Amino acid sequence: MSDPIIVFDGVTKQYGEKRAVDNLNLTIREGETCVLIGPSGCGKTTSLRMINRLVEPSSGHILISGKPTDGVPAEQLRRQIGYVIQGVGLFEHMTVAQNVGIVPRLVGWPQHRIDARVDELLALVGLDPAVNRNKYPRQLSGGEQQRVGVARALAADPPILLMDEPFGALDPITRERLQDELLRIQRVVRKTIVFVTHDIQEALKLADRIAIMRSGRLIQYDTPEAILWRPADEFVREFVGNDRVIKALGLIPVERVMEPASGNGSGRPGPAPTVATGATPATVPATATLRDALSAVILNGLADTAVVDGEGVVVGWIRREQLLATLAEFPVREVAS
Amino acid sequence: MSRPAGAELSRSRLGAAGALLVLIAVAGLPWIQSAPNPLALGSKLLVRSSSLAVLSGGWLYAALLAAPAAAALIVGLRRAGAPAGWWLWAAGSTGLLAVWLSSEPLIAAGRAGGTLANVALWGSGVWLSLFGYGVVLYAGILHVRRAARTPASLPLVLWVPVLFILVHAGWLIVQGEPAGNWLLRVAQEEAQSGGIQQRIREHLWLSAVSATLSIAVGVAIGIWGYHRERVARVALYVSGVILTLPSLALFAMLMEPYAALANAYPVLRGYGIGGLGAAPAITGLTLYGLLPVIRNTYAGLRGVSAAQLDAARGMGMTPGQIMFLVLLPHALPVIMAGVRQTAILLIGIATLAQLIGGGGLGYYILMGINRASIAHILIGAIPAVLVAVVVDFLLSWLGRSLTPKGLRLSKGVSA
Repeated sequence: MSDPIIVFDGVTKQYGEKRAVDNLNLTIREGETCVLIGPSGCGKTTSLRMINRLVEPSSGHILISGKPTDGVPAEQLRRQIGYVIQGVGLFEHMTVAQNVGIVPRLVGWPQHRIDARVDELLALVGLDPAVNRNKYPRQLSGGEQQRVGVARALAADPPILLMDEPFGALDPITRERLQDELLRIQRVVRKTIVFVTHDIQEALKLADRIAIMRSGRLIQYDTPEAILWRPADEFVREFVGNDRVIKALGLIPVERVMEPASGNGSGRPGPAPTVATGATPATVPATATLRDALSAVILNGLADTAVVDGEGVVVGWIRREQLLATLAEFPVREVAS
Repeated sequence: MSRPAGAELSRSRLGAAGALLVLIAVAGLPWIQSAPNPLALGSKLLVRSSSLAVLSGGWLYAALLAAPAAAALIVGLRRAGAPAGWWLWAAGSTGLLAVWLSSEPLIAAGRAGGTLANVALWGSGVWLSLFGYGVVLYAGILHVRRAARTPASLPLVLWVPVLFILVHAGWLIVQGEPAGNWLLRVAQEEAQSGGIQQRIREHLWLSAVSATLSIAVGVAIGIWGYHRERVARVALYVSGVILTLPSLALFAMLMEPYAALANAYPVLRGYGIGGLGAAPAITGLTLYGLLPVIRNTYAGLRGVSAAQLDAARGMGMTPGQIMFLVLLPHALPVIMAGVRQTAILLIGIATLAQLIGGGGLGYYILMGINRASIAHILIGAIPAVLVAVVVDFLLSWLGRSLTPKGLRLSKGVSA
C-alpha cells in the first residue's frame, strides 16, 4: 500500500453556528482516487476546498506529503494542485492553448516548453491539438470544455488533482464517456485524485476509496466493494440503495466465476444451452462484470453461458452451480456491526 | 441588387417626409434675402421668382431643384425592397448637391446682373431644402440596410455626399469666398482671426483632460466597488445625483471653493487656478463624466462568471493576476462603452464651460445668444457636433479592436 499524501487531521470548518465539516480525520493515499460523496450540505465540497485553501479550516490541520498546507503561501500551494470544477471556468477571452498553459505561465516556464506541454495534454484528453489549440472556449461543446478543464488542471504536472463535481452539468452520455476517459487518463498519469460527487454510480465507477459524509462528519471510508457489502450504518445502506448487492456485482470481473474453455476451444462439456425460442443464446464479453454475466445467464434461462473475447471466440463458460456457489460466498452483511 | 428571400417590402415614411419638406421649401419659402446693407430690411425672393432675372426661367430652375424630391416622394410612398432605398439615396444625394452647389453661383450671377443687392444671403428655403434632402438620403440608407444584407462598411460609403459638402464648406472657409452663405461668412471671419481654431483647441483640451480624469478616477472607483459592494452602491448613487444637477449650478458651486483656494494661496493664480476659468470647469466636467465609467467598470467586472473566478483562484493566481489576467480583459469591452459615453457627454457639456470663463466652443454659442446671431450659435454648435461624431467613431473602433476575439464570438457556436 502506498504512502499517505493528504491527511486531514481533526479538521473542522465552522460557519457561524453551523459546522460544515466536523472533526474530519481522513488519509488519502498517493496515486489513489478518493471520492467524497454525500447528500447536499454534507461538507464534501468544503472539505475539498480546504485542501487547496480556497476555504481555511477553523481548526485542525491538513498535511500534504507530511507538511502542513498553511506553511506556504496559498497561491504557491494551489499551483501545485490541479483544480477542476463543475462550471469548468475556462477563461473566455483566452484560446484553448492559453487556458491550458496558464499555470505553467504563472510559474514561469519558457514558452516553447509550455507549447509542447499544451499539445501533449490536449492529445491526452482526446482533443486534436492542431484543430483545437487556437479555438476559444465558446466554440467548444460542454464535454470538450471539460476535457480542456482537465488538461488545464494537469498542465504543471501537479501530484494532486481536485475535482469538484466536474461532470455534474453534462448529459448522461457525455458524462459516462468522460468518466471512461478519466479512468484511462488516470492509468497514464497516476495522480492522487480527490473527487466530489453526489452520484453513487459515478463514485463506484471511479473510486479506489469512497468517503461517505453526512452533516459534516465522515461516516464510512472504504473501498467501493466494502461499502456495498458492509455499509457502516442505516444511512449508508440507504444512500447506496437497495440494489447495493447488484451494484457490487458490477464491480467484480467476470473471470471470478468463469470456467476457462478447454485448450482446443471446441470442447463443450455439459449440455448445450436450451433456449425455448431457438434464438441465439446471449453471451458475455470477457471484459464485463458479474452483473452483466448474471443478466446474460437469466436471459439464457439459467443455462450455461459463453464468455467471448473481442472477436467472438469463446474463452470460457459460466455455469449455474459455479455461479450460485460464488454468490453464496460473498460477505454480504445487512449493516456492519 | 438581389433581394434576399423574406426581405420585407416597406414604405419609407421618413423619405417621403423629407421630400415633402423640400417641396414646401422650393415652392413657398424665400430662397434669397437681398438688402442694400446689412442693417436694412431686405426683400425676400422665392426661387421661382421672375425678379431673379438671370434666370429667365425661374420656374424651370425651381422644377429642376424639386424634381429629385418629387421622385423621392413617389418612391417613398410605395412598398418596395432594397432598390427603392437606392433610389431614395440617389434622389437625396442629387438634390443635396444640386442645392448646395447652385446657390452660391446663383447669388453671384444675380449680383453681376444687378438684380440682387450687395448683401444677398441664403434664405430659409435653401437651408430647409438641404435638410430635407439630407433626410431623404438618410432614409435611403436606412431602407437599404433594412431590406438587404449589406456589409457593415457600406453605410459609411453612402454618407460620402454629406462628407463632400462638409469638406467643400471647409474649403470655402479657408480658401474660397462664400458670398450668400452667411454661416460660412461668419465662420470665415472667425477662422481668419484664429478665434475658431483657438476655441476648438480649448474645447478639445477641456473635454480631453476632464474625460481622462473621469476615466482614471471612475475605473479606480469601479474596481474598488467591485471588491466592496457598499462602495459601489454609494459611488453609483452619488455620481448619479451629480449627473442630475444642472450644469450651471454645479459650475457655480465650484467657483466658490476655487476662489477661496486662490485667495488663500495666491501662488495658485500663477497656474491659472481661480474661481473663474478652466480649473472649476474641468473639475465640474470630471464629476459629470464619472457615472458611465463607474457603472460600466462595475458591471463589466461583475459580468465575469463565478466559475472563471473560482478557477482562477484555485489555480493559484494572486489577486493582482486575477484582476489583470482575467477580470479586466473580460470587462474591457463594457468599460470601453462607458468611456465612449463619457467622452461624448463631456464634449457636449464642455460647451457650457464658457459660462464660468472656461473657454471652448461655448464662447460662440453664448456670443450668438447675446447678439441674436444664429450664425455664431451654429459655428459654436456645429464643430462641437462634428468633434463628438468623430470621437465617437474613433472610440467605437478602438473598443471593437480591444475586444478579445474569444468574447466577440457568440456563445454556443460549435465549429
